[in-house]
Amino acid sequence: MVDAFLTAAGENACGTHGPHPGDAAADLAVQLATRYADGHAVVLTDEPTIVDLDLEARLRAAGAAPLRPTDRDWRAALPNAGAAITGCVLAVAATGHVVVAAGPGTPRAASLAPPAHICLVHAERVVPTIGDALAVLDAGDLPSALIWVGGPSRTSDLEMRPTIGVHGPRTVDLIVISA
Amino acid sequence: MAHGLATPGRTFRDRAARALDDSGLQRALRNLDVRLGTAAEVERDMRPVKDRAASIRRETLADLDGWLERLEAALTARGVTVHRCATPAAARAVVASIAREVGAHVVVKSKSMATEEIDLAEALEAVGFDAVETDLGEYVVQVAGERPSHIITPVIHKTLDQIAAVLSEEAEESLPVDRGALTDWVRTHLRERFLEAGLGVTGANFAVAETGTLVIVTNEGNGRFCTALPRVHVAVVPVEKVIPRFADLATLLPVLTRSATGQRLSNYVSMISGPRRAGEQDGPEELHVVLLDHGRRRLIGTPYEAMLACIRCGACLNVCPVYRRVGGHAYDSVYPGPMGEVLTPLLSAGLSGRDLPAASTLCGACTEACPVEIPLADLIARLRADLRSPDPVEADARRPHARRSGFGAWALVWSSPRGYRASTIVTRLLGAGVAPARAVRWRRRLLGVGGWTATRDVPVPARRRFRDQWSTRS
Amino acid sequence: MPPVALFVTCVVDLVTPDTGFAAVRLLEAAGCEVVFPAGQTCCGQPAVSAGEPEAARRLARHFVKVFEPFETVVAPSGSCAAMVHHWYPELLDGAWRRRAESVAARTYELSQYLVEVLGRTDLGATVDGTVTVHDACHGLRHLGVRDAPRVLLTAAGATVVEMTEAETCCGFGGTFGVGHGVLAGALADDKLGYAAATGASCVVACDQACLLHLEGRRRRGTVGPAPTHLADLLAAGLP
Repeated sequence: MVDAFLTAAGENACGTHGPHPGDAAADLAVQLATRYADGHAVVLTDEPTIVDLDLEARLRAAGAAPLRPTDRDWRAALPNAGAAITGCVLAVAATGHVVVAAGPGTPRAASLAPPAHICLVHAERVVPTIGDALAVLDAGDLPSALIWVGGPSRTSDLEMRPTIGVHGPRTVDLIVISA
Repeated sequence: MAHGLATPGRTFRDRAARALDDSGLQRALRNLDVRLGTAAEVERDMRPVKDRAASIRRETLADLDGWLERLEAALTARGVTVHRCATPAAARAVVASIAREVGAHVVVKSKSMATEEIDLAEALEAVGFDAVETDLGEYVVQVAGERPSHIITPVIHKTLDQIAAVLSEEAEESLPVDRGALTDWVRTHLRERFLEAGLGVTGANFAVAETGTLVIVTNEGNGRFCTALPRVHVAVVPVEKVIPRFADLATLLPVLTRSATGQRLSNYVSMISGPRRAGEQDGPEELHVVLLDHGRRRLIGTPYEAMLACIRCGACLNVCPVYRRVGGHAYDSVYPGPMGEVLTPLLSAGLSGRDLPAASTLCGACTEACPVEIPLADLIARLRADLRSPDPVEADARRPHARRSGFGAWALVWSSPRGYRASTIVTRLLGAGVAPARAVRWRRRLLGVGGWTATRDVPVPARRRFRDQWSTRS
Repeated sequence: MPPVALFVTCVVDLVTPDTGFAAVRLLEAAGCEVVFPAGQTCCGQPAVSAGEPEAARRLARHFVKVFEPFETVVAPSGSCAAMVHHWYPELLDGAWRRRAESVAARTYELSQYLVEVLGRTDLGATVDGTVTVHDACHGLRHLGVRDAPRVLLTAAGATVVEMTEAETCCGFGGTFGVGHGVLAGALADDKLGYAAATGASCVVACDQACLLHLEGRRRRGTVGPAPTHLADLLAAGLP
């Protein structure tokens, strides 16, 4: 199922990586983020995947500047950030989407404003279909916003030819963390 | 629907003729993909999903008011302010008053046919707000002072050269005729507007009654910005967007995006359940939903109820031979193509789009393409009859055509073999003895086929009818 | 086998009676006895197209009266047969609707009847050369007539080459063809262009109205293969 997810995501023009053990996945995320950010800040979310793998320390060790949602100037600094690393609550094999949830520490704009989005996906969070994802999401306890991300921002408005990067991230890299 | 930016030409026929002569438009329309997402194997896989989608839509319409009450209760429970608006004017007033309270100069909009329907951007501009369309195609259309010509790809009527020219004028510099460069310019330019906007306005593709969730599908991410950064978010949601259950999205989302763009699922799907919660760093502090009726609920229980199942995928536009030849502006309505031919006269109670149902060959490609089984061609044919009345929804079946068409007399004569034989002697004479020039003139007069002879030779009636030859067949 | 009642259609009766006789010859080649109910007139479709359901209803009832005595009704027109199938039950109520549904269940387009009902593909006709098929809308979408004309042509020895957008409307569209003549002409040009690109010597359809519309355009200079009714082409190739 992880293979199917990565294949579908690849078809959506995502960079696909893994499955890797947690440490290797975290190192790859930092390596990609540092390269994409090119000296600009790297947005991190405050969610277990990011905190447990201590992405902040890894970024600093790599010489990058992390920007956390709890930082006082988060909103002001966001427009200049060069990349973001987030986790996700689910991933859908049939479509290649990851589902990110808004909440304290996981702002909506984190995976949206920076030109590069790197998403860490726990292999056990990959479900087969959209219907499976909706069932897992639990209608009784929905977060204020769930964002399904299928790949880099795109448009077909110019003569129906796909063009990447119109508003949101120009690149989306999905790194699966092996179970 | 009345709106400020009229397309030249008083009738569909005038505008269509103009469109056929517009070489730039004709070039641009070739980009339209008729077979979008309808490859045979995709169609086979999608068929059962479409059947389920149609059944969910029917179920919803069977108790529309009930589902709306449940939706309103669920939204309210989530801290959303619900405004029920019967008319576009009421909806515009609500949004303008919210914008004033927010005190925001800049209002960012994501693409929404409902806001087009109520002329929201123009209304906000008129009272001093800077209402910015942020979908790339909508932005080009807004900058050009035009209207979208397609409900999914608003600027399909322009070639890349033309789009580059529009954006160059706005940028006050010469932008290259290059997709990447134009996209980059729009990205940079609109990013500033997202950051300074106090109000975000969107539509919604679905509104889930069970959970009070608004679902917005986009590819560009502008809808995400509109619902992430501004302090207040207003969603304009026509009443038929309600769906019963969260789980129904598993059916309706792929059906919508397959039919709209050929994608398995659109790039982004936002499921918004209420405003920002305690401890969250972004998202709107206030969320308003404008539930817009505008002539919809009165269609329930009429032969036009099925039209409310429409999920605005645009598939009927893409397959319509007429739409593909003339583009959306010829319809001079927010809703073009087959769905527009039905919706425009219905929503306006017959005040707009009265000549649109005639703009169809009734070929049925729209009915075939519709993922939620709306019998579009049948509804178009029915409207031709019901538009004999001022308001097609309250049509009087006995009302004759304002212009006497002669069909009644024709049917009377042709429902008897003797009448048929007698009347068709005329055509035989025309086919036989009469001099050609005079024959053509007479045929025109008798058959009312001037519209035919302008572009095609009229078939010449046979000297002896089949029935005459049959009776003497050995 | 009970006789087949030919519904020749008003267009064929008045404009191209040869097509009617071609249909008769094909049915006879398939072993049918053909009768022509003399009371028949028009199916009423122009009235539906014009938004005149009352006029259509009157003709629908007339059609039902004329054809209900027969076991089988065959028309050399997908559109007229589709009118009976699709619109009569919509137009009529009560007993009239039941009678219409009963007649509709026995009403067929010619190629559909030969291939799907009789199971005949080779009627002994010979057609040389390359042809392309235009799927006329109502036969295609209301009756599912898609394979039958191709099967008959192939069995007669013709090479059937598919044109781009074979299933797209030719632009005739009943009252549309009159009220929107310019647009109808443009759509005919598209159709003839696609047909010409196949190199076929004729564009074959099972609906005379579409073909007359295409031919009318051709006579104004649009280049394209000869619009030809399936029955005419096949019957010309009978021994």
